[in-house]
Amino acid sequence: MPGKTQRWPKTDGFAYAGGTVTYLDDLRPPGLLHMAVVRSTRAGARLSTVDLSEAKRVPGVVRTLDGREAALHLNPIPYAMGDPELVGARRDRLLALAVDEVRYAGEPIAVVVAESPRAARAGASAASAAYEDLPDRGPDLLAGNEFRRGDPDTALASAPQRFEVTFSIDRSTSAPLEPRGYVAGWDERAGRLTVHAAHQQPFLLRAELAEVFGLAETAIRVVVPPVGGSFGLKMAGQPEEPLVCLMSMLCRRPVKWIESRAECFLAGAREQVHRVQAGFDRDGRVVAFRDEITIPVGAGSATPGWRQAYVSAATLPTAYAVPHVAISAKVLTTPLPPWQSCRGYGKETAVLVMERTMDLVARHTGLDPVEVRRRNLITPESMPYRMPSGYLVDSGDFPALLDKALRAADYRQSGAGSAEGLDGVGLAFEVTPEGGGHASGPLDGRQATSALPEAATVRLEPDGQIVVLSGVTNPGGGNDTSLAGLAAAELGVSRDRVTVVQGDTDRCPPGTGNASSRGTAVGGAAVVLAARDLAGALCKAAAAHEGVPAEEVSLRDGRVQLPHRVLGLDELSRVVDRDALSVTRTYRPETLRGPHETTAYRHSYPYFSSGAYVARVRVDPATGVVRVLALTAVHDCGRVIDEVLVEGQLQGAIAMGVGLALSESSLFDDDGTARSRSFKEYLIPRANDLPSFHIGHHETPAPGTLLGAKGAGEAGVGGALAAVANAVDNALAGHGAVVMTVPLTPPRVLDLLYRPGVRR
Amino acid sequence: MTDLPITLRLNGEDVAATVDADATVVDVLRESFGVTGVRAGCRNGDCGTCTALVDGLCVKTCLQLPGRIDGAEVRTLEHLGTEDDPHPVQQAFLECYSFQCGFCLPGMTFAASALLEHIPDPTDEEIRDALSGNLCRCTGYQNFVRGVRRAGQIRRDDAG
Amino acid sequence: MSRFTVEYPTTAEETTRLLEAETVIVGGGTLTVPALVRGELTAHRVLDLGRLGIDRITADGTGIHLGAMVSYQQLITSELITTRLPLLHRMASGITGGIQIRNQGTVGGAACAARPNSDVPAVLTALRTVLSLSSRSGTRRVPAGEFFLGAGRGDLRPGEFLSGLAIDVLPPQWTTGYYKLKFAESSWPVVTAACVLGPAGSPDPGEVVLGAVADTPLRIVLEGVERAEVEHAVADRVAALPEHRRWSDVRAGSGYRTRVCAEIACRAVRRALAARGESR
Repeated sequence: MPGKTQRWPKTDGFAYAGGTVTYLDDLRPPGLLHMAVVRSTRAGARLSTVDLSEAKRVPGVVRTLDGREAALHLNPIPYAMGDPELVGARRDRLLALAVDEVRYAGEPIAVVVAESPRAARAGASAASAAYEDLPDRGPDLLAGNEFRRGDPDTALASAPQRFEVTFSIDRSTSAPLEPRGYVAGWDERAGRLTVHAAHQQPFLLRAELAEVFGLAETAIRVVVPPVGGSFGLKMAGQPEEPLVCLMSMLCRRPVKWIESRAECFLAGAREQVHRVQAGFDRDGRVVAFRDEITIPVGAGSATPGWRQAYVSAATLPTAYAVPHVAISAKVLTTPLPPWQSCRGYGKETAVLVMERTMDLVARHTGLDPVEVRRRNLITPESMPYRMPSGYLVDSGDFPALLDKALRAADYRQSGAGSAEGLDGVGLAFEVTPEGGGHASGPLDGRQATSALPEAATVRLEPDGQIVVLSGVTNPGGGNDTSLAGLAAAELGVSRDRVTVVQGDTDRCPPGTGNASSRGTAVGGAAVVLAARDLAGALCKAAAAHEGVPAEEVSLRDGRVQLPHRVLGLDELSRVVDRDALSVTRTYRPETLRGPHETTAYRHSYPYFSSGAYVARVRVDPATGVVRVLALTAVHDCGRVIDEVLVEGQLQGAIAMGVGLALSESSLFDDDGTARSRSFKEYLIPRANDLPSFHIGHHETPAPGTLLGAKGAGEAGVGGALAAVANAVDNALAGHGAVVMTVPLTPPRVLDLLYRPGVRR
Repeated sequence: MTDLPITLRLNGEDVAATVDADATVVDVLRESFGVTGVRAGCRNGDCGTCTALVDGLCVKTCLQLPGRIDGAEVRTLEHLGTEDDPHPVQQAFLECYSFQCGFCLPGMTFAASALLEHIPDPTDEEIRDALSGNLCRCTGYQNFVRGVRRAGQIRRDDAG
Repeated sequence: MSRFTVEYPTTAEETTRLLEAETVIVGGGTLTVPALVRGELTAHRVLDLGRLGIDRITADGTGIHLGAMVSYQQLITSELITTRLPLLHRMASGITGGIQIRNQGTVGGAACAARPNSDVPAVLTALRTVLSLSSRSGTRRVPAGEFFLGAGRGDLRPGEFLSGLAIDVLPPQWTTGYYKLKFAESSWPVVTAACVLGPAGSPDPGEVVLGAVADTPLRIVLEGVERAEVEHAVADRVAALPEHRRWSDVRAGSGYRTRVCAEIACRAVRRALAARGESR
């Protein structure tokens, strides 16, 4: 008996609720050693010497390693998620440990391995390095990305009205509760490396390690235990990944590395400056949009983080059909820690910029922001809609979605405020390209891209249980529960009869792990195909065994339904050929084309989820403190597979969007030293910072996926960010202020309210 | 002289170990006693993942040196309820899909249960305030608030 | 292998005997323990006061005595504090960090840390608290108004530890008000104001003590409780602050604090007025 605890929605829920689930740091294989990383204290300097002699003397320290020694063992780290040239970027040679030169404060320059985590940390603190100044080179161009449509120069010049405005977005980060961590064990005799990793991309990590060590992929096993949140952070290409493995090889003992919170805060993304020019007519129709974007992505990195810069640019002008567009992005490497992927993957900043722009068009024309959006949204009739970047909006009914959100939020333009402060209401329309495929554009002789597949194996066990092995992983959001439900439905069993295995490269079929909101829409489709085939094979086998026509056999209520009797799945498993009990299928989303299109395009994001958001805020005009009073979202993720899971994803994403709008900012000193080292400096929302969110759904099935499902996971960050920013702008509009920067910290809000020369 | 022998009652059992005097209680519980129900999320008292009951008091164990649990009674998340007889907060968190990755549960669960002992039928504002010592990045807290409300209901039903 | 030893004294005598110049004292641990773990605070010897038993709240004829290890939660739940020192109760109820930090953090520890951007220094100053600093040579009693010397610097001499705090209960008809400005639940205080008002119509209307505007609590004597009078008194006092005394941190520069502090003071005054049944 399962007891009175409901097993749904999380299949193994009580292990979590009861605290017995084992995350990465709970793994302690015999003989375990612990690694700590020595990090550069300088940015953009020559690294003259790394002195590890004091570190070696710290009791408990077993082994140290500097960059020169590491380079004898390790090949450069390969780029995760495709060649940099795909998105117009320079290719760098990226080493796990710095040699001769450090690029940013916090860059790994050595590692220390010891008998305990404290000894390793003490050893790392005892290490020292000498640096020499280098001439300040300024930022380097990593990539230039340009997207055009129509004749933006002429259109801007001849537009009846236009404005120019600069928006800037602070650097921010993912900050999962569980930081990164790895345990590597090298089996010298078998020549086999086993890596447990709190990770989103086990197969990509395996490929990376194979290349860095010159090993065959079959010599490496990556296993992902339950993960304590990720939001993009735990992707492949991090220098500590090969380092912890190398130390296991050199020490011939398993080695663990757990990131400290301060190290975790080095990761960041989203910083960008947009110089926007918009041209429009008196009816609020935007005829031209130009955006010159500067995106400093920190130091070069093998992780996919910096690619978010491309996605930000390519996602413009988001949900709007603008005839004349010029997007030009300069992506720069700078002496700060490298960008890491963050929930939203660049799309959220594009949404912010476009939604602020639409509100400013409304302000210039005197129209309601709703009306301006209605007049510019891509219509359902023009789907699939090709964007200037080459991204293809597959589906959606944007006007209907907008209306639904307005009704749900009881939207109306607010008055100037109440006794307690200045009230504002803000609207945002969000599109989220999803499903994998960030590179875009016409083929035009350039390197082609194709849809990445996901695979699943579905198997009937002798005891009648179902096992699903999937190539997608679950960083904590619960897609395992969706996969179990999909398999259960195909096989006519209850969800608790299905066990989902993910994140083990020895057991699971290869897949992309967790990225780009495709766990259910693509990974789930593979499960459905495999489960469907297995169901067919089981019915056929049962029919043959019983001598009845196959079409009279079905799976229902956990049993095989025959014309005159029922058969348990466990019984069936004993009488059927073993080969028929397991099916593996792969699925890739379709590459759609625009109507009447003759040009061939790269495969890019196969589906777009969309959403409309309404935020209500109250601004304290004396202090600049902003309180979010209400937030309503109506979301179109195509077919909703599991409402509670989709809403859970949205709630988390919306909370992050509110944080980005109001408080989250990664700060650095002028010399590049991180100032945001704990949750006391980097402010993520707490329970009493947030209101309850009101969430609704609007389903337009994705034409390019088997289930009609789109993604949930990234969506909500940009929508909430933009809606809150617009609401603050609305609250301050009476003071002539224009919101151009996020987060809207109280000092910034006060600056907006009381600029010299602006009436109070 | 830097090693510290300690004995304590941990989750209903008397245990003893010699630990580093400069370790923190979260590390001692995890490394010396294999506890999985406390976690080191920030080591700064901000996130709440290391929360346990020490002599009945809900505390962040990353802020304590190990002498603080010598002779004490310590209860961690593993000892709050069982699958067959879960604590009302555990049952409610499962029913309401309160958590996602689960890393924050030590703090969320103990804070919720401490609240309900003081205030059996709290308002949403009181719930949000009580949970405010714990960070969660997955859920936006909404289903935790629902979960605490539901846990209060379960407690009152059980009592009534 | 440990980097420091930890002593857990059980008597005041033992504590003073163990105190050396190099000793770091751990009270509630919320600030010191993480700093020790990260190596930001270094010491060969740590004194953890957890077993000293100085966590009692007692009352005598004129005042309330707090052991230095009294937690915020005790201030919240103590009937004595709630009824006789509502300002302290109010401050403790708004401490950041949830149930756990309210159980662990101590008012004495916060006083010793003397962080400008915390609730405690300004409130203790407003309540004219007297701090008892014990050493082998006896106990020195220092008023809060003289104890806070600078950012992170309290008048705690080598060999001394804070053993207790004494606060005289305000005379009847005196009221208090507290207002804290912070930017999010995770944020430490950005500007605080603790207000103590005499009875309506008294020649000395009262005072406001601002926290986190300067490196130590800023006491401002009021000439009246009207908004303009409060604003004026605050503006004068803040204008007189030398640049190096103005507080600035990652949350906000000193310019922001200067801009908002009069309003925060007014809000504290308004609450103190409300406590005597007036609204302005």
